[in-house]
Amino acid sequence: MTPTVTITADGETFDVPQRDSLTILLLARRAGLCVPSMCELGNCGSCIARVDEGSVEMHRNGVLTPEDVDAGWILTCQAVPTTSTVSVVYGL
Amino acid sequence: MSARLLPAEFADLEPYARTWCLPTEPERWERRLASTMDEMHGFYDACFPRAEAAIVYLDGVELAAMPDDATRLLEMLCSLALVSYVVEVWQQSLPIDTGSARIDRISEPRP
Amino acid sequence: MSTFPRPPEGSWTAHYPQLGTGRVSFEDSVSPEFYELERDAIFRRAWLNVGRVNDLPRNGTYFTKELAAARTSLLVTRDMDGEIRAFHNVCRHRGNKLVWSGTPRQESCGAGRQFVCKYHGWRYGLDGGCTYVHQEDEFFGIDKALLGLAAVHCDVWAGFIFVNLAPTPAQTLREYLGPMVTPLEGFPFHLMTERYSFCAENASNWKVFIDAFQEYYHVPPLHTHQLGPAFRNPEATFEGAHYQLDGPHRMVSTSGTRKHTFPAEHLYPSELLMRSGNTGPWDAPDLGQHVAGVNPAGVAQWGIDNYQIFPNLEIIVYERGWYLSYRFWPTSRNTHVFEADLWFVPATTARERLAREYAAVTVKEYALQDAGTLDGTQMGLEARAFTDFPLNDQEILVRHFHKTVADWVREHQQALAAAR
Repeated sequence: MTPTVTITADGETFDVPQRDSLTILLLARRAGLCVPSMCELGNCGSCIARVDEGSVEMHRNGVLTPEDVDAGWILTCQAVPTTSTVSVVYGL
Repeated sequence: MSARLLPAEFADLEPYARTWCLPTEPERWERRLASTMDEMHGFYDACFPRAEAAIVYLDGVELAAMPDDATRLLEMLCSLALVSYVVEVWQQSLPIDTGSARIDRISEPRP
Repeated sequence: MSTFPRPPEGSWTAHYPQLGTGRVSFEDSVSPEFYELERDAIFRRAWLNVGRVNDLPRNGTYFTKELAAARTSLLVTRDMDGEIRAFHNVCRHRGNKLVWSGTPRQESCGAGRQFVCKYHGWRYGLDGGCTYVHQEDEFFGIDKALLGLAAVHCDVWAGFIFVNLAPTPAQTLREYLGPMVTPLEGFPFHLMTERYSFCAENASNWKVFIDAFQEYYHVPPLHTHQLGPAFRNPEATFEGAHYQLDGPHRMVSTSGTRKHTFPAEHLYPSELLMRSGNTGPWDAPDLGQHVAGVNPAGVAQWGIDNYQIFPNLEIIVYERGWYLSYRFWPTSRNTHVFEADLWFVPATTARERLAREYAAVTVKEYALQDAGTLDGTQMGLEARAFTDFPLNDQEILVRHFHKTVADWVREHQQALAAAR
């Protein structure tokens, strides 16, 4: 089974295949989804989403607190899936 | 054979579903402008008599957790709201005296 | 013979003697020179409504607002403690537009903890403070503490976010709104969170469009289709139940036209089906004891209060328990951006959702008639075939508005001359 990221944005849900080591943001963009971003360096928090299933690893984290991370918040411009099933929700 | 779009008891409206079950007002508005008067009258004549029954049906479904077929029925009724102005009020696609004006809806609840 | 009592002077207009009853000029709506004067005299001095608290739904959200007339873009933020602030949307380094998405020519909104300038990577917190300068030691004696964003005055009234671009506003927001407008804060705006929004680029001066929304004298002739053909009366008239002016602001209360009480044969089939129309959903929400500050004159059969808050905000509250706001943003001497927001207590059933949808559809249908017609009004005024125009008593708000605009421009010119 293809490793997949399930992305919910603007009230719609899409299953996007994981590929190479693309971040959640890049996977979403490649699938044609319009998701928020600004600095793409892990410094602003615009690309924030919450992980509801699975796990990810962020290259950098310049703005999220430990409490944010414990609550499942991720910077999608930095986050790469580490499980074959990941589910994230934007816009909460 | 294509899948049913609407709840089974509204199968009589299926011929209009692909055209008029549109989730946003901008899509429904563009469809209104792209439709002929005959097409809009046909849709209105089929949908209006069934609309009260559709509303009663939808009132039995939780608005915040609607199944897809019920959502599409609600979207069809939103299209009816737009088409009703063409059929009941203006007898043309756009309001009288619209001229060159254009107003876009940019935000609405979903569904 | 009036349906509603007029003031002792015999007319609403005469009740405010400073207005006069003579013909008025609309040169202010066609003159390029006057538009340039207005931009500074009004849009860089008055309190301007740029949004609502609903536009900043959580701590750590923002939106940008383009104010072409004031030659700026604003960044409005809610920080992690909930405080709302506004800034010029400009990086302190070399003046780049700090926050935009898609294209710098459009407004954007979103969430974030910091803003990062895409040009050289400088960063700012939600409070506007500069948090990071890239290669800081390359600079000569800079202090990040002094490199924050340029703040503009920002305050909130009844959930409406206002800004003032003056270095020192002449009045606080509450003083500016004054004793006629501020009681409207008793209306439960905060309960009405289901939103329908519209935007238009209109080919008319911002004031020409506002004028169509501050008199209902035009309703029987222009919006004749609001009644079915069998019930249209070419002799139909409009009379406001109560007009009131206070400082730069004005309002009208209407009475009658309670569509939800009309006999079925007077209504269109879809008004009956959807239980809604131009006065909104027929089934009003139960607002309990929440509603205060409406119908200040206590008119019977009250329909709406239409508040015109200078310069460019209109709030209409409806007896049926919902409201709308209109804003009119000049983009040139004869174009403007029109924003309309309809707000309802959220629907809980499909029937309620459809009633709100039909109300929103109805507003757009009739607003298109206004917009189409007013293109022609702008063209007619620019011909300068006439240079003065008669206004009747039902057009008192039009008269007051143009006088107020003239007063603000004149006062600003006088202040500039005195400062030289």
